[in-house]
Amino acid sequence: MRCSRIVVGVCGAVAVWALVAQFRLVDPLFLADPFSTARTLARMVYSGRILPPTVATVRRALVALAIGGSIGVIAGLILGWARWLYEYCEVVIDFFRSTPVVALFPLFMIVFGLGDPSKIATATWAALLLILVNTTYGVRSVRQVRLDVCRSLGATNWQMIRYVILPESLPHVIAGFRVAVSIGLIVTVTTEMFLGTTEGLGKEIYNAGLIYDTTALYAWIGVSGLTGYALNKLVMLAERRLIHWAGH
Amino acid sequence: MLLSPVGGQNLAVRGVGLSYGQNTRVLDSISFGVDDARIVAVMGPNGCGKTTLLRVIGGLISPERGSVTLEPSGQPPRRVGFVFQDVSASLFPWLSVLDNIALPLAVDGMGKQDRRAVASKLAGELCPNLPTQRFPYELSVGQQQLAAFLRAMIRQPELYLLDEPFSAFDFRNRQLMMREFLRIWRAQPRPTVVVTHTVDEAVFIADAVIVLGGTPAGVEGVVETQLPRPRTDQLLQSSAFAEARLEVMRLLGAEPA
Repeated sequence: MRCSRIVVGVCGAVAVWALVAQFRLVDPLFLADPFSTARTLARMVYSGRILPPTVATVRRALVALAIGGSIGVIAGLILGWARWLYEYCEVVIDFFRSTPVVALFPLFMIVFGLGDPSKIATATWAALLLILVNTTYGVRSVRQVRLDVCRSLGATNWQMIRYVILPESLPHVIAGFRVAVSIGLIVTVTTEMFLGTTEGLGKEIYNAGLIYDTTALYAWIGVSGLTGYALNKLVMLAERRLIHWAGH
Repeated sequence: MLLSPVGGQNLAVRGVGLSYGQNTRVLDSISFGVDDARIVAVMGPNGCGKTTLLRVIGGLISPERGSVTLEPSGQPPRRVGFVFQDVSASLFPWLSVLDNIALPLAVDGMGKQDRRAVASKLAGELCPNLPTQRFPYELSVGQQQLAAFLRAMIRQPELYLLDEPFSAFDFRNRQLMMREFLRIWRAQPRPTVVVTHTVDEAVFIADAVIVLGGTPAGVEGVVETQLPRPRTDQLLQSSAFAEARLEVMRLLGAEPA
């Protein structure tokens, strides 16, 4: 039932798209039809042209996720554990969380140059803040009675972290990763539209737009969408395997 | 009181007092003893400090005045089998039931294979029907409670502390769980303190019922029930049970009909 609804939904969306394009309800300059988009996409796949930009973008996003995730989890554990320390950092964290992260990109370009490091740094910053805040909430959501269980057994601080705090905050950490993977990709693709990008989905999308190649533009948008979808599903898969107890 | 040595370790609570902040005194010089292999029930009105007292005995809160020791050694208890009120929250949903039961051994530093073997043996002997390979959230409340009992006893603690262990059950299941608890407890009896709100439960399980009252809470009185063990459902109909029950109710301030 669920599966057939999903198929009908996707087919319906494509059908609407095809009809709108077929009857020229929108200027073809703005809207490529699904069939030529699919043909272009197929050509890109066949020639292997699709891979290098996609790989470059995914690699940047994943490196950012890895760096930002590691720092974010560790800092989040510390800040969740030591409430007084969080209070010192609270306003600073909230300020940067409210700042659009791409606003920092020019600064990072000055610091890290035009190449990969500035792009990765921007996406890292976005992922780091998201994962840090989520981890902090995760640590704070630990149920007191579970800590009491450990304390009544004479557990050390490290044992409490290992047996209660880490597993208990894991659902929040992974939820943070799920958001961070989407935002990380958004930031990566955005930063790739700037000067100095040799390869990346953002550059392809921007260039296709520049030369009014609407079909290629739609094809690359499709690739970036599918990439984001796949990354998201991957984290969801990990989520389901790692935290079977969610909600208990 | 019950402070006569019977062989093993006896729990002695002497003049325990506690305040929250500057002005709120919670416990006022509470003293009682629990012989080895005896069960004492603690009753009293809501918010009178029963759970707080239990946490002091279990070493989760240090008392401002007085002491909690095991006699004759005179040392504070170090190995406590604590069963917390919110049982499903107190079990760890990321661990199998077996690993939950074995948790105290993990804290003691025992290796995974060894502690699983000990836990399986314990569960196999005392609760053979407990699905130990499942996760706690897949179990009924009663099964979760049994797992919590087993976790409390696995490393042979010096005393047991139970916070309203039967409050989640209807009458029939409560009788069942109390009998199950007493059966498990008999396998390894230790001085035991049970906090409860139910007179029948207190009288059925315990050898003595301590009634707390007043602000700050002190011991209003103690009823030593002298009922025979093992306890069966027939006991509920006996006149000795009715008398003990009436006495506890009087101490709690209820008007006898």
